[in-house]
Amino acid sequence: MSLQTLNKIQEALASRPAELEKARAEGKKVAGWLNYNVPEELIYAAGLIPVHLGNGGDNRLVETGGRYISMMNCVFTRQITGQFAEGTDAYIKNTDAVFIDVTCKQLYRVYELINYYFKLKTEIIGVPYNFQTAAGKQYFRKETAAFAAKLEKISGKKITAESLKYAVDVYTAIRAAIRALYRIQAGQETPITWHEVYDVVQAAYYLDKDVYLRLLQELLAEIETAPVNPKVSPDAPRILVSGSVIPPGDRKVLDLAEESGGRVVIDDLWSGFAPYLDTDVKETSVEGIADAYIERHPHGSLPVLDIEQDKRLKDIKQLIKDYKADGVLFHTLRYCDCFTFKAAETKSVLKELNIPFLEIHTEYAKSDIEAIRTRLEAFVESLKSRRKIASGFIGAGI
Amino acid sequence: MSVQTLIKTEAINRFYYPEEIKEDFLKTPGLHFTDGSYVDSAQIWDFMTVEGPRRFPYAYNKERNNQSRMSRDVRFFSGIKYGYLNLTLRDRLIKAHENGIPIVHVEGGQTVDPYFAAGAIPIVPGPLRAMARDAKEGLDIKDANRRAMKIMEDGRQAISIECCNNPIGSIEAIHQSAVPVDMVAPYLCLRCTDYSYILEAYRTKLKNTMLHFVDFPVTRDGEWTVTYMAELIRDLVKKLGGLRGASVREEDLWKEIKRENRGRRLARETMEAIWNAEEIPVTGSDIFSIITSGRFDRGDSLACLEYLEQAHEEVIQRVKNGVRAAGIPEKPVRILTVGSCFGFWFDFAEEKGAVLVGTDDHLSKIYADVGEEGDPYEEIAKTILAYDYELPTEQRAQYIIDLVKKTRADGVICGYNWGCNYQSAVSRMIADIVKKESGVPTINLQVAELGFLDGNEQTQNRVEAFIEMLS
Ligand code: SF4
Ligand code: SF4
Repeated sequence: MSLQTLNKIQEALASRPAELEKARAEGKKVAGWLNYNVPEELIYAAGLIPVHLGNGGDNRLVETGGRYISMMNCVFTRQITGQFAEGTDAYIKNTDAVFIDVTCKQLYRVYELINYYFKLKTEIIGVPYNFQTAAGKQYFRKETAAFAAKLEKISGKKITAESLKYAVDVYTAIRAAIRALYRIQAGQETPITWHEVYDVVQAAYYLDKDVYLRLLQELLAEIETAPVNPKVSPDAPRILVSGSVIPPGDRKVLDLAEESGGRVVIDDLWSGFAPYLDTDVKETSVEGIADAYIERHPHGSLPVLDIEQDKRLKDIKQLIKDYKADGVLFHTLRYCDCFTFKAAETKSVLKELNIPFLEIHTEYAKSDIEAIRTRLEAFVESLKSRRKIASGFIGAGI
Repeated sequence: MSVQTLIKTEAINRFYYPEEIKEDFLKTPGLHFTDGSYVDSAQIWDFMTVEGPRRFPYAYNKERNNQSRMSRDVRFFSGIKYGYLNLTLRDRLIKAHENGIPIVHVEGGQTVDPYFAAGAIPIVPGPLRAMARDAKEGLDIKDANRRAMKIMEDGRQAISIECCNNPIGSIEAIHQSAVPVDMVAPYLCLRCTDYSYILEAYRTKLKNTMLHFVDFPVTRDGEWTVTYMAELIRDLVKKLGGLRGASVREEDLWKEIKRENRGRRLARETMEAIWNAEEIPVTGSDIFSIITSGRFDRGDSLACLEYLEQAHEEVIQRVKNGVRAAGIPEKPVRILTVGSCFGFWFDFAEEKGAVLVGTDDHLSKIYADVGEEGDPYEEIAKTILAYDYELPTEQRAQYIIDLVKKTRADGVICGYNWGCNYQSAVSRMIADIVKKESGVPTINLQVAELGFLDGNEQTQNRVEAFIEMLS
């Protein structure tokens, strides 16, 4: 039986576009955003409604977008461009301004395209690629301050100390709740699956943040007394998913992983757990928010030349340990160079730790489903055999 | 094909500098190099007619897709000197490396003033890959091409087939120790998808090479952006100096900035004279050499400057005398190419009745002077951030429209190389804007492997049809 709160979240999502329309009719403005490092708290503190844009999994939209961008850009950027071209997406229709941070520069190009072809009010926030240097951090502080000023101009309201504190508190509480949910779903026996949690995380793309936080707290309370979900097999090999974005609408590889008998228990996807893993606003100020974003689990688009300084890789290793993952599924989209080019090294680093690794390189088209299924089944089987060999390994959750 | 026929074909396809030009060539000046050495025109002649053909036969093959071949316009003497700079690059860099001069691999789209100023030699992908290929001498065109391809394919096998040929070919060459590179330190220009991620993918493989990069912040207009960039350049220069155990003074930077500004100025004056001339006075391959020398990519900024001085003088003289370069068709269709790392098939275009008048990528470098007053780091930062090629796409399209007017182009080919995702993303947008606002026809091409010898038929057919349409 499905958890009641999950149904409530679905209902809230269903009525959200109409709510946004109403809010806009009443003079409120919606700030749509794309990429990874848009400090959402500031949108909220400025009295705007934040909506995280961008879907996946629809090859028709990919083709539409490909007419503007090119067939040699990742399917996600192609689909977003297609969504803007069509203009029928409920959230895009209800967006007054679009903000894109320059973490992945293919998305920066999307910003240029939607500005030119679809005449949308679009702004960018620079993200330093030398992000670990003092100069890079300072640059991001300045960019964040400029972003805050643009928000104030759009909303016609100042970001006050109170509104900022309120926003930071709400977002901090949301992050804490998501972390708690992730811990629960990863238990050997659990009332909620990772897949369900992943959907909950992506509900945050759209829902009002107060409503969302309340629903998260309700969900956590309901889970405390909920029965174990019998569909979650405690014996299934535990998988960490990493790599390119898996946005709302795209469940191709995730479904196949589960159909093949694997159990995803953790991810570091930027459309999933990554923004919740360790974002920590230590000081309630614009600078404090900038620092929290630039110091958190980094997006794969930000290159790091010294492996010892690679926090992303360190975090993956830690997550494998904490979540007792048996293997890593590395999902890469074609033409997503920042993740694709990391695959070989990640594989060899994990090999040294005796962690099996499988890269699935794909797009949204369905033509490779059977080939992926075969590879995933073989991978899951190999994880099972390893488990048998290392008998007595399975721990009691985390 | 029998061995006899093969030898005959090779001989027919071979290119020679005719003896009758020797006397006039020897009257021209030689080239000075930054290490204090000098080669006179007799030494250049000997190298280009004896040593060059023996060591690098591929460069003397007349195959029309051979982008490494010498300019067919043998009476354009500066072209011979450029060929000399090209074919001696490997020898000169090995010598410099042995003398403790750091060799630093950089991207194509950047001002190299800080590298030379710091006493290092910056080397961009094209020449670096050529150096790796030239590590084995005596190769003819097919074998030379095969060798370059093999290095690139080794890299792609290790990282991904989606890697652009330029960075993967270069970094794998460094990995295979085919070139003596001490440091890889590019700016991550907006043009380039692959450098950062390929470099990152090799971070544990390149054990003896220092790795570094300088960000290219996309928000160019903020005061803090200049501060950020200037700080990164300062740090880069410190690191480059550190390779030699020396600290770099501001006056070293000013000296180099002034030299390179002079070179950039000469390159654009020369190009503008070519574009404005009644007859096209030099071939497409010499046009390309002039433009690329304006970004000092043959390992020595002084020698590049002297080449530019000589090329400028020759071009002005030819324009005055109404000379049309050898092989240039009468009233050619003028094509401007647009896109990253575009080096097209000059001879092919000329055979089909067109001439390539430039490419927006390379031309942006000769239109980017560095301010000569104030803080040199900030001035370099401002120049980098103002590069026409790196501008937001709508502004870049305006720069291209301006180039269409300057070059008197009849058509624009927008293209993107395999793996060049930031360029592919906006290629159509540029083609649309330029066509709409300048009225000049444009096409948008995906080029599977720029600069390759084989497998180009499809692209060439489209280019040919485009030229025919414009004729
Ligand atoms: S990070 Fe990769 S998947 Fe995400 S938008 Fe960029 S290229 Fe596409
Ligand atoms: S073609 Fe594009 S990806 Fe390749 S080196 Fe040039 S700029 Fe970089």
